Amino acid sequence: MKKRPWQRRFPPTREGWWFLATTLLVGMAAVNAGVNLLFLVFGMMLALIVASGVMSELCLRDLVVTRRPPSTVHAGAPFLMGVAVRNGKRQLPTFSLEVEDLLADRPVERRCYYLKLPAGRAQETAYKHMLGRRGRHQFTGFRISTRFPFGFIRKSREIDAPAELVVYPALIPVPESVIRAGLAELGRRQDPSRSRSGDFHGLREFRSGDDPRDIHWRTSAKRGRAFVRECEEETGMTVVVLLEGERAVPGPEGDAAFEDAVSLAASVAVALLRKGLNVGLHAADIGLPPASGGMQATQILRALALVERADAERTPAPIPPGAAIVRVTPGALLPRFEPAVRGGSVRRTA
Amino acid sequence: MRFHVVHKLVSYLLAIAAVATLVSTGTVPIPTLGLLLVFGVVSWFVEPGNRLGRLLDRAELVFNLGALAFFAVSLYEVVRSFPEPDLTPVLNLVLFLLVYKLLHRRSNRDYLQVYVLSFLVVLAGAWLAQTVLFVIGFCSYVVIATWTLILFHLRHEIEDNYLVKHLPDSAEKVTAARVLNSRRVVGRSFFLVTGLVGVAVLVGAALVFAMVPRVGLGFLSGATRRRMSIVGFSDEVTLGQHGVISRDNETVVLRAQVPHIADVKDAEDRWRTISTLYWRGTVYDRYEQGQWVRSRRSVNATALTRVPTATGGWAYMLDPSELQARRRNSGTVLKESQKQIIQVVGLSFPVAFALDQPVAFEMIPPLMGSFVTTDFSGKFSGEVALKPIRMFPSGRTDTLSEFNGGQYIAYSRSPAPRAGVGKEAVALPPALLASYLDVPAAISPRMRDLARTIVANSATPMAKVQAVTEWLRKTHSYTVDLKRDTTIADPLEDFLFKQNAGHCEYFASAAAILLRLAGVPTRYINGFLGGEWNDIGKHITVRDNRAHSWVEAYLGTFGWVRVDATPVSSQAAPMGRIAQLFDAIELFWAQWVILYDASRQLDIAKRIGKGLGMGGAKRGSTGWKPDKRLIWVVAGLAGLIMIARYVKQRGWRRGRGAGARLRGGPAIFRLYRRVLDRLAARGWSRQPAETPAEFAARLARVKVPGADVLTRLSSLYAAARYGERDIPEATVTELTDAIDQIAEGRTNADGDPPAAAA
Repeated sequence: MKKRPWQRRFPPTREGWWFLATTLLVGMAAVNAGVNLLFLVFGMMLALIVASGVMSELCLRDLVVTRRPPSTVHAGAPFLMGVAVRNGKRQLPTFSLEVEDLLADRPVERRCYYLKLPAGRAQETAYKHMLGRRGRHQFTGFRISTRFPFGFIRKSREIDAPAELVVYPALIPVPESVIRAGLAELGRRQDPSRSRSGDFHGLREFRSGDDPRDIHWRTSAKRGRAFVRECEEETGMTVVVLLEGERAVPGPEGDAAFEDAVSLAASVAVALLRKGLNVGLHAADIGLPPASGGMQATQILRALALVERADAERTPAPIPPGAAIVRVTPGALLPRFEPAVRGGSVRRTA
Repeated sequence: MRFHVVHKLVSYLLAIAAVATLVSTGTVPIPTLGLLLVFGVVSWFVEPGNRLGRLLDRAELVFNLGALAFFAVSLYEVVRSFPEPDLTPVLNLVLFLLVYKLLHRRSNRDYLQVYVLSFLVVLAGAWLAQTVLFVIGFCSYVVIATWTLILFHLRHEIEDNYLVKHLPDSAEKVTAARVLNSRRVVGRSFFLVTGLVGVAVLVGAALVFAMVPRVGLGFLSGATRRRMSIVGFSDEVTLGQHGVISRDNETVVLRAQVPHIADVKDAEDRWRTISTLYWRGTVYDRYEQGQWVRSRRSVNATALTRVPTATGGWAYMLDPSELQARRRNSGTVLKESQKQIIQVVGLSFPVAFALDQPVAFEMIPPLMGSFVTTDFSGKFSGEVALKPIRMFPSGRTDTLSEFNGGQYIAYSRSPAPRAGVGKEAVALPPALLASYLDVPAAISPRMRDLARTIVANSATPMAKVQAVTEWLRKTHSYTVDLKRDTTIADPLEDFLFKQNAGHCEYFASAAAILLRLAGVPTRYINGFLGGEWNDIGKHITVRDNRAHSWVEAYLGTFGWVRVDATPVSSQAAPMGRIAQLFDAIELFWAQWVILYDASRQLDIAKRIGKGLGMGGAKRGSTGWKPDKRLIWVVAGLAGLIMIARYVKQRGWRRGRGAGARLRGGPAIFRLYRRVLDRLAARGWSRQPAETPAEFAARLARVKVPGADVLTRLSSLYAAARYGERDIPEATVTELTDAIDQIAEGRTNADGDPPAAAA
């Protein structure tokens, strides 16, 4: 919604109502009794009200408000939103300023307070907030208000400051034991040739496709057959987190289950990336190739922040060869770790 | 200076300025003022937690009981003074509470109460004040009030925001104490700018003062306004009470612009002329046991005849029969008379004063639209009273009970020899003359003998007057240090035969009674002698210390002649230049502030209109009369505009206000708002800085019944509000039922007792 810069709201505060009522009473007393000096007091009170309006207007003028959002925001997790205000007036300071951020034209409940903004200076503070829903959130502007100078009225005006904030899915704690067990399962069932950098786990016979660099030459010479080294360390392992959104049941309950699954997928992906794995993502029509590092975490979280529940089954994106699958299904409490698929698309589970 | 010290300082200055406005009215006795000062100074050093503060805390019960007792006594005093309540005890109570609160400054609420009490003191000052001194205190009050209100607001905001909004785990935590100790919040420029705002408020107050219509509705009758600095001319004069001629009372009674005095170039001549001016006021005709009263016989009633003036107005002629006898028209008489524009300042008794031998009185006609004016009414023995009246559009008039001063024109006989004097006697009716020859039946024989002795060799009334005057001046001296022999019943007899000294009341009374005993009709006059010339305002100021009494004797063809038997006493010193300046300011203050009325407003409006080339009706003419239908149309339009604005505001608030945001919108919003309202009504208010979840958690921590429902509701509300989730109607209905059950006193699903929560 386009803000109108000239539009002001100035509802009286509780103290303001008392003052107005007293002013009215004094005015009535003056008129009733015809005591001229009471008219003077009445005039003083009216003039104070006018002065209040003028001074509060001066306070709200020439202010530039900017938003400093945090780098990552997860649904359901509190975050600090920085708000910087610059007083563009040349001489006059601004006192007692409150700034409310407008989220989809509605003010968030927390306010930022600035006691004094000297002329030409800027100050920054932050408000703590929490967004319950992942996805795009549109901040439309700010409502700046003040009760300065006397606290009789709260004058406010709204200013445009559109910004989009992508809220990542909520991260839920995934037990380390689950990750370890899953990876161990993958380790037993998946060709570990790609994991050469971890601790020594054991030896097995060479299979076609194993990296010749992993051949344990001493054992191979002793036994007369080629043996390769297996490592415990998962680093270097490639997994694809597969979010099966289409499996959620229709209706609100399904929606909730889907959201939980998105959170689980994001949490598992982040946990695996922290362990140094190459992690990819497959969800709906999204297919992020496996990679490792912080940038990949951001890409996966952003993709999951924006993923929508697919109503119809979509053509699955191809899984990279050799990548294990971490299957996340709505309604399931834990992810399912599956060994690598030799090329082709994702195997659908029953 | 540190913020909290600045705030404390301006709060004290505000209280001082407020008390100053009251002191300017002269209603605060010196001992009370002394006590206020002492306790005020002590209170400055009382801080919560310091030695004095702890001492006062320990004695809190005593203080509270003292306050309660003070309140009870004040209430009793007020009730006792019914039906005309005296509000002085209330004022004393307010001053007491002001000091009490200054001694008990603990929180912002105490400061706020100090401000409210200060404001009440200023209101009382405005109610009672008559002098320009009030404006000095008031101006200070306005500027300091601007500072105080701003600093109070900032302090309130500091404590509110830095203590509450920043939670302990927040990185933004700033303690209020640190900010309150800061020297950087307000500085010199702050006081300069806000001081200018204070001055602007003063200008605004003056504008409102000038423009608000003076209608003097008087819908409600309240306590009688206690006027200070007034001079008590009353229905009787009691010898020896020394009420009228107080030499120390410098209260200005009236100010007069007298053209023929202003024309005198030589200052010495002017001073001499002014010192012999007799300002005639009240007239008494009956003497009884040391008291002069009005007999109020119809034959003595003052007749006023309405005659046109040259300016198109109307004047009231006194004694028109004399005019007829001398075959002169009123215009000529007024033209030949001495004109005086008199402003009555401080008189409780509305007497129309005029220079000796008044001929006529003319009221400056109120302009069209004025609701209050003053008229004249005849009293007795040539005395004229001022009658404040309220005029209604219908033409009806009501006499107002209170006289707040006024301005009028008086015409007095020129001191030059009157045409016709000594040629044609204007005979007074015998019944009238008889009333001026009355002496008390119980008058002592030696007084009769004395009168006979004094006028033994005087054949004519004039000679008798001279004989009595000379005898009194020769045998008696002037003094204000009165002595009294109570064995002599009549103070006049005591004065004549025992004390041989007295002030003007005694000399006038003695002259009047001795002349009556000698067969010369007399009447006793109270008024003022002389005055002080104000070169700045070109007017004569008459103060109470110039009060004087004399006698008028009827001398046949000479008519009523002034007889002053009092020996010449020391005259009050003339005003200095500064005193003249203050007096001129007082005149301005009285004319443009105290007596500012609808006439003056219309006058100003007309001048502005003329300045804008709009012209205007002449004074006294019928002028422009608004069509009643037009008035109704304008009033109706104004009403419609006000209603439209009100409706717009209401709708706007409903649509956009903070509370309305919750009232509108999805059902879960409305339900949450309802629960918040109910909780607030039971003392569980959500703090501005609390999120719904925090609020619910707080209530759960203190085990408020129904908190579990609130927790669920808060969660859903937050999801709807910030997560933009749609809450199913069934869920809202279920929650509503649960809340209603708790509110109606039924147990909730968990078997909790009836909830305070919902």
